[in-house]
Amino acid sequence: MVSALKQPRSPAAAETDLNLEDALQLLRQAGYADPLQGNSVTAAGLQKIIDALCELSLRDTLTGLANTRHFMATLDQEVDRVSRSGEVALLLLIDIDRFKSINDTYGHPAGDQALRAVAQSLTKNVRPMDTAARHGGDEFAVILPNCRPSAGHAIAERICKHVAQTPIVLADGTTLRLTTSIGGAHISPWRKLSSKELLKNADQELYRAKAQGRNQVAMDTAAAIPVSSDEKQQLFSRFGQDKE
Amino acid sequence: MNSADAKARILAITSGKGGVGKTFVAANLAAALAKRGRRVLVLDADLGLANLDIILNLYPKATLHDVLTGKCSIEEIMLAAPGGFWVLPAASGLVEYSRLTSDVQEDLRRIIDGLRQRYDYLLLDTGAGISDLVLYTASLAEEVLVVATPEPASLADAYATIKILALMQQRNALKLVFNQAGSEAEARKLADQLQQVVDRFVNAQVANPVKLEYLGQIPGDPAVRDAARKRQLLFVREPAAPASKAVAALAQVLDAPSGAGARRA
Repeated sequence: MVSALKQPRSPAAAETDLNLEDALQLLRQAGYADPLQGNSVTAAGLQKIIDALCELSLRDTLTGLANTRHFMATLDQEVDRVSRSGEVALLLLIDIDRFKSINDTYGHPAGDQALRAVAQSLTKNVRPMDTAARHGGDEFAVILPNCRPSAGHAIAERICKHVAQTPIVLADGTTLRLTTSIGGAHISPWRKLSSKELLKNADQELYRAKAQGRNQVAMDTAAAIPVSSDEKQQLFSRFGQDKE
Repeated sequence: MNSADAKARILAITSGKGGVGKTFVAANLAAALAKRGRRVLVLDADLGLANLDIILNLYPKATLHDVLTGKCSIEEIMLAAPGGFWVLPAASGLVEYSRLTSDVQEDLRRIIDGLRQRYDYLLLDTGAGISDLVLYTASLAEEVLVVATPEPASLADAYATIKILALMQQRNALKLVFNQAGSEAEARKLADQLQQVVDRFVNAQVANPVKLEYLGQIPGDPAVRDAARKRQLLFVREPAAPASKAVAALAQVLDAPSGAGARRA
């Protein structure tokens, strides 16, 4: 921990010297290599420290994913970008099924392990340009810029499947199978929605995925309404005999 | 004729598939409605690949693109079409409109709102496909007219369009016209067929079932091609041709007193 009780510094030292010890300790704890590498402070070294701290402030401690602050800022940016670029983007909300009972039955360390496992599944299955975030307790979110509905659906299915096929082994040797429910909302330029409305839509879809039995994906219908072969078959059913 | 608060009926004309005669229907229907004494404006909503001006043999010096980029006013680009209606032409060959920006959305909405008071009908001739621009244009209209031909590909695209409009815009009434139909009987049968597929696959998942309103059909007619080649409006050039008569009948159905309010519900 960073020492809460610091030695008061003399006014003269506060004017001229930098006290970087707390910052460097924070970074060490978070697993960063020493940005100064034992050298004295230069502007470049200081910049490295600042960059690392900024990065740290946007990350979720437990999972290493983007935290809620970073997620909300990115979502706002994406909503704005979509309205300018005309591209479709996608917001996914991912929730671990029956997470509470994992916590209750196996304890919080198991819960944490589950959260980390799902975070890894997310990282493995999204594209480099996507932003995966932990958004509250056991809920995750992914923002997928420039994402066609079919591609978005495939990515969501992939995440769902990957989690279900990756059991975790707890400290006591218990094997735990996790599943997730995923709700998706499209960010499309001609349906002007705020970040808040998008989150609400994705949340509704998430609820639908849960209600339909969990371990599945539900997406809003924006721009993704395929016509099935059954429909075509019925549509053309009388064609053969009618046309001559 | 019109009460003080009367506003234009806004009708989007769309098809999914290209080349089925969407613009032909828009222009000739406009002429037929004008002949019935209606004030009609057709907006070429195919902003990047327009051809309403071409079939009407108009040479616009400025288009909606100039309005959307702030270079012209609506009045400056408005053209009188043969047939007694007005046209807002669009540009051709502009890739930028394949993406719909929020600026274009707002401008289009404002343009259409501004025109409502001055006309009885605003016809929005959309582009082919089911792009965001087409869907957005449809969302600006109270009524949507889907044009199809008896070809399977056209039927499939018309169905996809109907399904998307029903699910995304919660539309429960869509108008349907068959172009180049073999016969009235064939067109009716296809309309029934579409309704049945809609009943089974779309109406099962919407709160308000979608009802297709079959307005009529325009028979295949050699006069259509002749007029097109000469870049003349069929309804003006050959008002007695079977296709012209069919268009006049469509205008009558559309313009019938019950058509305005009752059928919109």
